[in-house]
Amino acid sequence: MGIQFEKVNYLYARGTSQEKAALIDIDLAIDLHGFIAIIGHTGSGKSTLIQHMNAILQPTSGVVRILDKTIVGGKKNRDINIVRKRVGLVFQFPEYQLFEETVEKDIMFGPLNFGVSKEDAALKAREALKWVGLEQDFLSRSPLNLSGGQMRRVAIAGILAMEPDVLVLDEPTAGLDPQGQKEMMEMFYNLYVNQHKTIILVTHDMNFVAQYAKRIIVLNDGRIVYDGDTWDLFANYELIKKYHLDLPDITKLIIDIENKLGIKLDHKINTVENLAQALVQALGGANHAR
Amino acid sequence: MLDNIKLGQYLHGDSWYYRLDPRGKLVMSTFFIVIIFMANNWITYLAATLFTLLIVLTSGVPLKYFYRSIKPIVVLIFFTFFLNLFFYRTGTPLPPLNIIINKIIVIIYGVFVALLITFRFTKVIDRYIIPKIFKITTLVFILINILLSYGLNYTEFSWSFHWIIYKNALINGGYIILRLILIISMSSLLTFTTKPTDLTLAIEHVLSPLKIFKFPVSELALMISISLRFIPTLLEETQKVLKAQTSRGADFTEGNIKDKVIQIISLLVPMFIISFKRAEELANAMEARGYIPGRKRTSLRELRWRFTDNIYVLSFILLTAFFIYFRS
Repeated sequence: MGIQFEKVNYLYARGTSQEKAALIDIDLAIDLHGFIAIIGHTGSGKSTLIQHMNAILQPTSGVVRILDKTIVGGKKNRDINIVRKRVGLVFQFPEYQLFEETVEKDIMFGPLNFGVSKEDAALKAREALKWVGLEQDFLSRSPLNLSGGQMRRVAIAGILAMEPDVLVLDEPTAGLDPQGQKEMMEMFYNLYVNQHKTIILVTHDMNFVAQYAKRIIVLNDGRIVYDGDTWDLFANYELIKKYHLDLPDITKLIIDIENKLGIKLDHKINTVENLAQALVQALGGANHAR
Repeated sequence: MLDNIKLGQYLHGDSWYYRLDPRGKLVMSTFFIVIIFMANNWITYLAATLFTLLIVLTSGVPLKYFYRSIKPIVVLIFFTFFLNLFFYRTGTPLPPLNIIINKIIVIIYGVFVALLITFRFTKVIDRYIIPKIFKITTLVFILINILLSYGLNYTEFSWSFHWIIYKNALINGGYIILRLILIISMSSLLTFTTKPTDLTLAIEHVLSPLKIFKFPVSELALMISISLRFIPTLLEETQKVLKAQTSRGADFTEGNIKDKVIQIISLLVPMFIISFKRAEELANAMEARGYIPGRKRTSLRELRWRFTDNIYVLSFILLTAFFIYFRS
């Protein structure tokens, strides 16, 4: 179960002069109940990759297995709509997908499309609104008169109301203020812990990656160049440099300290407290020697 | 889902035709459409064809792009051809149509049966293409025979309608096809080799005499170029919204009409909001940079009329003279 990619290739603008391989030989297995980050530069194929996860895009060649549905590249695959109920994809700036008169109706759009009755859909809308941390009195308001952050929460609620097992998020924090970003990430972590959702997160913010994701996938020019433990990657300075990746603030700080003081620290230190302790140890030891 | 929509036909390239002044190209392409109607015999059509071929072949645009721009109107071309075939009645009559068509179909059948017996084809051809050809030819065979036998034998069914084709109808139909292909080739060449921005600049120049009548020519040109500029952007946005709503289970291909309406609305409302937002942002940006409608403005790109442009225009005048002299 979960999502598997086998030798997946995807070509954009196939058969024209602008033909371009967006994904090359992707092999990937994602099990349920994980928190995974996908990073990479603009144009590295992140968006293309995640759009395969709910069959919005279908591979040019190769096989994608989404839960119990198999999507074979280059063929016409039937009844793929049902996959989209179980893998919820939140696009970048999802607030642009709002269109109904009220928040309630908009959240109900997804469930209704998947054949849920009106009453059940309304219940799910209430539930979903709770998960994204909005008051119930939002239900009757127009989604177009909310603040940017609230609109995004409503849009995400619209996906959550479909009760997907997997939640794929494309830059969910883009364009929000720092506080809003933090709240948004906490919300996803909460869904991961309490609702047992699988979270697949595309982001540029390494601090969030470092804080929440256990596993990290790095894409570069349509290929997966790293797939493994998050802190193993951040400790691997060669790789970070090679693919021009950003580091979380704490790792940057560790490197700065190392360069200033000429000492060696563990790059996998992930909290300020641990860093302080490590520093006391490293410096204290040096002091004793003196 | 919207992959096959292609707007802004400009193809990158460089040749003498690319370097021509867009004003000359625009006016001459229009002029060509007018003068082609002067051609009415084989020598004038031959001249027009050679003239167009010369330009097309030296323009540096691959021929397949012309084929692509002609393809969508093939149906229209054949429609006019057949209408012409049946309603144009001068010259010597040809043998009845059903006999000709029956002969052709028998030949097609024969060839295919012979091919089938001698060769084994790929799966696709065996399974889809061959049955399709047999189906279509059989259908045409039956239809033509029913229709034409009525027309030929039972005069009470056919008023004064004789399904007889005249030689001139065939020739004239051929001319019509040729004329349409030439017109499309010349106008496609204009859009293939001229950037939309240059084209609007040319429109602005060509329409500039209208300024005397207080017609807002430069505003119109600006509106055209802004619209052209935003078509790809809005298409991209549409694609995004389409994908987002598909992710929420909207199915734009199936379902009954009521569902479809809701799903189209789920696409239209966001697109309206996005377009208005973009328009407002653009208006603010223009204002911030001091745009005032009606003020005299300079252009980043100045059009320059070169010697080759003179020759280009002259060649059209010569072609016109040729038409006037040789047309019957």
